[in-house]
This record gives sequence, structure tokens and C-alpha cells, in this order.
Amino acid sequence: MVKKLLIVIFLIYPFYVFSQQEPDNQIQVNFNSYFDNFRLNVIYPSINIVKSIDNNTSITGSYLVDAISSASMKMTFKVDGVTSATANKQGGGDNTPDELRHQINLGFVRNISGVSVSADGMYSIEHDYSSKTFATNISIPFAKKNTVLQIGFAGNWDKVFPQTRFWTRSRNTTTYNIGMTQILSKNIVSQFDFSFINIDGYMLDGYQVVRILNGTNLSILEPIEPEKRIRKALGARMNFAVSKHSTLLLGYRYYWDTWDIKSSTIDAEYKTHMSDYTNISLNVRQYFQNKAYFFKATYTVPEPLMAVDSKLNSGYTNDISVNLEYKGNRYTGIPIINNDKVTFLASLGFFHRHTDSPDWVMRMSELYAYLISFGFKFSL
Amino acid sequence: MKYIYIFLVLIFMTISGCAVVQPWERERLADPNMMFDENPIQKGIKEHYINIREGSEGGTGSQGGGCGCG
Repeated sequence: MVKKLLIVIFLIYPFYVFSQQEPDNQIQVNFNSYFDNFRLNVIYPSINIVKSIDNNTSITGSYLVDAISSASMKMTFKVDGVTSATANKQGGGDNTPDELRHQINLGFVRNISGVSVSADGMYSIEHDYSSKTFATNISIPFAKKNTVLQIGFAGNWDKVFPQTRFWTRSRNTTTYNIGMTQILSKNIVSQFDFSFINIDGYMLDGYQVVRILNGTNLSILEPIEPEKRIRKALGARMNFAVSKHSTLLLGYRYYWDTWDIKSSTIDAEYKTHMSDYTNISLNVRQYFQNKAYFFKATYTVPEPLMAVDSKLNSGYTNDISVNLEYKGNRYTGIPIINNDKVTFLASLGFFHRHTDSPDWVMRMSELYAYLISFGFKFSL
Repeated sequence: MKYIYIFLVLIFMTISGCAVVQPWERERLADPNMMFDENPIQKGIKEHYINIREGSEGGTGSQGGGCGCG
């Protein structure tokens, strides 16, 4: 009954349509990196372009590379059981990239009678995985731009073909998003978001294995997980203008799925203009989750469902990051920096994950990761 | 599920009850820092790594996928 009432409320809520801001013409180049104590190193350069082609239409494009270097665990399948990085030559173990992933995106944003419509296609390829994505989004502002309704859809069609197996399997994902951004007062804006994600097909890591020790007999088996998963998440955020130069964002997300994982995420971000040229933000985030119903710290006998992925274990994470933006017109006479079209970007992040039982491969419960990113935006 | 419905009703009540802020009253709201996800590229970079280390996804206004890393 409540469900029907909600549907009726949303259907009769008036839609007064008007314009949405177009994205700025710019090139953004980022050089990102990730290092953790599970011996995973990732270098992640990317380039993104937005260019308007008429008064109402912009095209977007991006290209990125994931270069993954990981000391090999010398597992049964001679791949890294933690990261799934498969060596170009068996074993890995040096500092050269073990795996490269290329991703290209092309899309557009068009303003149609005040309503912003976007569509984006993405193709990603690595030597044991490929993915195609189509995503579209519509933003409808109404109530004198005090409210913006966002409706999004994305479809992913993935192929998994591990180097150590003789099969190719599919994973198809459909994602529906509905969100609403609402101005609450002269100093407060809020956002609510609901996601519904349906996944069908092979969701495992093709390289991980389950070790079952029964007495002196060691069995090495493939993990088995359900081939369907429905994931839902509700998020709410509020951004407060706490002073003329500073804002405080507070957010909460609740997540639940058909594998019995439930999680809560809280985050806070403080941003301030330190000067006309410098903007700095501090973000703190904490996350808690319980485990999937079939995940176990150990298995003593083969079971219909078996998982070794730490993402499915219970635990919590902490994340803290600092971001800096610097507009390049502060100092005159210095080449490159002396350009009011350039904004320099830098961020430093620290991530900690605790799982209630040790990781199946690394035998550690604590993961510590460092994220470093720098880049620039250039206005066209 | 009833908590989710209550949450949705609260959202609707919040939205319905707020006063309209006129365009000339939005000086502070116009600050780029008041935008959610002002830099979606950096947001995507962060979510990419978080999603391969946590069992949850969604609820943040963006869509993931694209790699076999998790």
C-alpha cells in the first residue's frame, strides 16, 4: 500500500522544465596512482575532453590506461590472486606492468528545451576481460531551478576470458538511477539518489581459488557464487555554506543486496577557498558492511557456494583525502603557470580496510592503500 | 523495506516543504564548492578504487563497471 502511494506521489509531482548548465569546454589530464600493502601498484593516466559544437550540444571523450604492476603470488594459476593481475609472462614479480587496460569513452550532452540529455558509450579491453557500456542520463530542472530530477540508465555487457581457463563467460549489468537535487535554503542544497543494479552472469574473479584442507588432503577448487545479484542503494547528501568561503558536505548511504550484504557509508567534506586562486578540500569517509551469506573464512568441505573475495567479507573501511586546486594566474611572468586558462589539480588519499577474517591469499586483515593524483584542466 | 519507504516519504516531505529560493538569492549557492561532484572525473577515479575494495556500489549518482578488477 505504501509502495503504491509513493508511486502515485512521484507520478503526480509537477515537472516544470527549464534549462540546465552546459559543461565547460576543457581538456583535463590526470596522472593517478594507487599503492597498497597487498603489493598492488596501479598507474592510471587519463585524458578527458569536453567541446561544444553548437549552443546546445557538447561532445565528450576520454581515454585512460590502467597499468597494473603486482608482485606475483606464484599461485597455482601463476597469477596474482589478490589483484587478478595476470603476468604477460608467467609469474610477474618485477616492477614492470603485468596488465594493461585501455578504456575509451565517447558521448554527448544536449540541451533540449531546457532539459539536459546525455549519452555515453564506453569500451574497455584488457587481455582477459572486455566491457561495453552504454549510459544515458536526463536532468529535468523545475520549480524555478530549485529542484533537478535526474534519471539515469546504464547497460554493461562484459566478457570474461581468463588466460588459465578454456572458456569465455558473460556478465550483463543494468543500472537504473533516480536522483533529486533540491535547494533547501539560501545556504543549503540537498541531493537524494536511489540506484537499482541487476547483474546476471559470471561475477567471479576467474583466477581466485578455494583451498580446502581436510586432514592431510588439500583440494584446490574454483569459487562458486550465484549468477544473479540485485543491488540497491539509497544515498542522501547535504551541502551547507558555512561561511562566505567555506562549505561542509555531509552524506549517508545505505546499501543492500540479494547476497545479504548490507552496508552504511558516512562521509563529510570540508571545502574552502584559501585565496582567489587556491581551493582546498578535506574528505573523510567511513564504511561498514556485513558479509555475503555464502562467504566463510575457511571451508572444510566443498559447498554449493564458496567465495574467497574479501569484498564479500564483513568489515569496515576508513578513507581520508585532501584535494587542492590552484588556478594558474597567480604569478606573472612564469610560463605555463601564468595562464588563467589552466587549473592545477592534486590530491592525496589514504585508505584503510579491515576485514573480520584475514584475506584468503595475503592472510592479512588490514589493507593500507595510498592514492596520489595530479593533473590540470585547460579551458578551451 | 518499510524503513526505505519511510526514508522516501521523508525525502518527499523535505522537498515539498522547502521555500523557493529566487535566483537573486543564490550568491552562496552559485559557489562551485556548493556543487555535488564538482569534478566528476576525480570522483570517478576515487570510486574506481573504492569499488574494487568494498562490496557495495551505487547511491552516489554515478555508474561503474568496465574492468575485470573486481
